[in-house]
Amino acid sequence: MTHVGYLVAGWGIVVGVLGTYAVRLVRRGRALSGRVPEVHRRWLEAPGPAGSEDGRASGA
Amino acid sequence: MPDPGDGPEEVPGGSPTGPSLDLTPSPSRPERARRRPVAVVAVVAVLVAVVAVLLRTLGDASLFFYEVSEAVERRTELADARFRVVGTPQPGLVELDVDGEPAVVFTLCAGHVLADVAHVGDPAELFQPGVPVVLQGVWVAGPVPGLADLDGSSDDGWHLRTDHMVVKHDNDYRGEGAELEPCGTGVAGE
Amino acid sequence: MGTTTGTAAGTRDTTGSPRSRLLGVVTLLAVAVLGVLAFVLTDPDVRIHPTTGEEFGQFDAVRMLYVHVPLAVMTYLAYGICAVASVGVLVKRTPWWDVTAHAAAEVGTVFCGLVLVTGSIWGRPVWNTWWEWGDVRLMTTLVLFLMFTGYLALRRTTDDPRRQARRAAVVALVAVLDIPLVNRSVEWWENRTLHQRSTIGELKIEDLTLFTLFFGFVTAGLVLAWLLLHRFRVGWLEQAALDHGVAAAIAERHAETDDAEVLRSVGERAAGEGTSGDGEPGS
Repeated sequence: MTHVGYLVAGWGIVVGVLGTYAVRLVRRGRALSGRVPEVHRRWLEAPGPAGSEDGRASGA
Repeated sequence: MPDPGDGPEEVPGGSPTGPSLDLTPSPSRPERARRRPVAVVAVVAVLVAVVAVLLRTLGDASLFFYEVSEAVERRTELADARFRVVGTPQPGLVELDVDGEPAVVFTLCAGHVLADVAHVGDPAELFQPGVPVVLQGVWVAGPVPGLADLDGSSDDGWHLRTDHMVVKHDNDYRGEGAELEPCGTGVAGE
Repeated sequence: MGTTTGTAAGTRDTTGSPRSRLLGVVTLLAVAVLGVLAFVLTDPDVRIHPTTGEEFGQFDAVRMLYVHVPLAVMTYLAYGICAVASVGVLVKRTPWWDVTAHAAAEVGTVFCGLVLVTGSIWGRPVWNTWWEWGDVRLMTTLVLFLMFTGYLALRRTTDDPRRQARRAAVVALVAVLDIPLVNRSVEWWENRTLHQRSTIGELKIEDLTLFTLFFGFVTAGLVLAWLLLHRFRVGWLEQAALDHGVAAAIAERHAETDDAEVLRSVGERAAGEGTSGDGEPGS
């Protein structure tokens, strides 16, 4: 196989960056989940991915 | 600097027993939002970077490249200016020393127009006849070194002296069915 | 770990759900299959030149394209979602749109950065250069990356979530205009760009190579979906934590105020009765 070093670097960076980002998201989500009542975490019960558009009254 | 996302850890200030107790749930909803200097600097840095990239792209005419026919046509106008030229190397490479440096000599072609090239320095890893390249260099008056060993050269009293080569790869991945643009019928540039 | 009413804290204090876990498993499997397709089952790009009879092509470097091209397409998709959500921010003004836009912008920027890096690593052996300043495709992609980096930085310049959302939405809608330039640059500036033209658009790919590239799109789409979902939920929790914290602070203040008033009234009553101040409250 030619260009092995480039392939390892390219694929390795992609898998490494995306994997690290995914792990950080999961950890951040766990930390935040502990500070928020379950009523705000609809994905625990509801089939929908993340709550409805009108699910909140304040903010932006 | 508090992060809005860390809101629960922020408790509005003031003495718990003082007479002027502030019930306003700041700082998460301040009337006058606070600016964050580091973030502002980051935004400015990004803006500067965008402008720099655009200037770098648009401001340097040599970043664009000519077809061989254009380069030949504008030879007088280009004079000793550096420019980029794209074309397909013809079969028959000659390796020799030019001005004491290792070089490869070949003929570049686009359509029916040819130009002889002396490329000084290491050629690209995937450089070979039939695969288009973009070269950067200048026109030099006089025949290319090693002209006698070159098949089908332009031999028009000029040659390109280049020192930067990148391969312009095509977009065809069909293996044996790949089509290559016809090149080089032996008609030299005027 | 924090407040949890479920039976298993580890499974309830997360941004995961049964469906997102299934999506995660499918995504990991797809990544593994893509690896096998890209490195084992497909052939390197080697062709025989019709004139010279010599081998030419990208050789094994072509295997980089199975990740580079899908990431680029998913970058467009993520930024497209961000643009649509930004319109929602400006029209509907609800946090749902802002959290969606923010999530899409962040994940899109991660993807866009990887597109630049993998393109650069592919370009070194195939083009003979890590980077070409004159290449229009590269420059417009870099500008896209920088503009959305600016979008993310802009969101941090103020503590006011409303301003944050509105300003970011405007920037996203401007930045996304660069996507057609990125995509069409290789056609509009043909012979002025080193980057090759579209392969799929001109049907210059076939068989297992085409299937692997297509499978790359599916895999990158799954990765994008998983990341978007979890980044959205993190953003949603950040907003909820903010509001929950504010509500808790207000309740705490009210409680403190009540205590203070009780203490004050007790003190006043004691002074009125001529007692020394060290008597027990309410006695």
